[in-house]
Amino acid sequence: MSNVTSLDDPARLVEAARTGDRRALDRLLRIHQPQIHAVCRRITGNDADALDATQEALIAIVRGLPRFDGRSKFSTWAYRIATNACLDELRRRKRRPVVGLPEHDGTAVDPVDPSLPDPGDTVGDRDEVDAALAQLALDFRAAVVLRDLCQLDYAEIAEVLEIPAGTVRSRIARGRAQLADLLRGNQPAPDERPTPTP
Amino acid sequence: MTDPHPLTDDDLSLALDGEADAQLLARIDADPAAQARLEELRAAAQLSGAPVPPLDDDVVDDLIARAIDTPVAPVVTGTRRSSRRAAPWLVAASVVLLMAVGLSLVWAGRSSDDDQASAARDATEAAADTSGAGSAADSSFSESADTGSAAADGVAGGHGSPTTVAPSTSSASVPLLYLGSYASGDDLRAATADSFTDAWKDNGELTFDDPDTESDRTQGRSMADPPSSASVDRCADQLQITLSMEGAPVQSGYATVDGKDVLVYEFATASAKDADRETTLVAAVGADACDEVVFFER
Repeated sequence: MSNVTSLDDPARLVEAARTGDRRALDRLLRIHQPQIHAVCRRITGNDADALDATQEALIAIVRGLPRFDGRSKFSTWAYRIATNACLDELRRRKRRPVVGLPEHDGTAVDPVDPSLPDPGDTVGDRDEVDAALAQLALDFRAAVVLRDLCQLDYAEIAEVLEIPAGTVRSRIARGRAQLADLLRGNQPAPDERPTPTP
Repeated sequence: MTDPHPLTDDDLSLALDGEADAQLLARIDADPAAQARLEELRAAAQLSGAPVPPLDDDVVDDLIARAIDTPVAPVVTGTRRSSRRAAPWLVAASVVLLMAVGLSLVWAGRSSDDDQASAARDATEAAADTSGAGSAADSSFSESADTGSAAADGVAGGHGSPTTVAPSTSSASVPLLYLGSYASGDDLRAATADSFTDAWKDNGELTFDDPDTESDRTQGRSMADPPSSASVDRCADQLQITLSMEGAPVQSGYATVDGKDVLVYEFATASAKDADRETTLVAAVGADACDEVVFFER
């Protein structure tokens, strides 16, 4: 049986969850679920995909927890898993047929291709945030969301996305610049859109 | 004089994140255009940082329960089965169907109208048989799940009686060993840490290999009563898929953990920590729902 007081300590909570304490695991997931869902909601751009990605992320955390070595913060590790779950979810969405979107005229669209906008952009009921973020390349979107929504610093984002801190800075700046242009009503020129990161 | 290095969005974004040094901040302060752009970037950051409405409590409960109850799957490098590979039964059924159709066409070319009709009828019947076999195989999971629960309801037999359960499919060649009763999954893990045989010997060396006794079960089921072959196979199949195991269990047993009937399997696989090392994965799951009790690698 877990000691409730000891589980108030994040490190002990993680350790207890790692060693199979179901109550600790439940609590750990409840603590981090809101931010995981928020990241997924902003990166995927819709409720259904966000829910699926959140579920996948939580399962991946449970499965991966025995191998979590504590070298990074648990939250950083969880964000990495969540971001990857979102990208996987978008790839799955890509495999589903895109039918009847007027702008795309039924043509298959690669939502993972950072040079193209999200095919869900055309749905009329998306809120302003989703519509704007969906215009960003995925690698820009992830960096901006991790910074502005999750308040991670550049080093943490670099760890989550497994890219150099300088690249993080550049992606955040360019992502914000594109958003700023969108807010002014200017669509970023295609040649200003980024190329995919290998 | 024109500034040879005008301020960029990178510079302004750094300032927005509190990462700019004093010199950069001074340049921004002295540049009205930069300040205006900074405000645009700030608005963009506020947009992307807009809070996301939380999920309903019941949705969160469901997400977390599913995550916790999902069996832990080890990472098995290089041995993962392709989900796109056709099932063997499907390949066999297709071959049979093609052969039937081909033979009927050959026969039709040599026969009268009556003969052609007969051959076509034969081919149709053969195809129907094949398709029926395919459907049966396709739905075997749900059927076995049903029979599993039905059989579990009627399971009985004496403690220590050499009854059972002849696993019919994936576990058919594996004797079902009684591994004992334990207070927790950790205790079961300790008892089977080296091999199933240790726990089996400590619990009377009960092995279940008589298929006829399953129908002879009566009331008064005890802790040592074996689970149905359907539930043994159902959980073995589920684990084989969920854990991406290449083959069926090499060893199967059952136990009681904290009063719960548990099925225990041993799979030969590669180590999750070192893909080049052969090891065994022990997976203990509840007999009713195939839910995780304890999983570990030897």
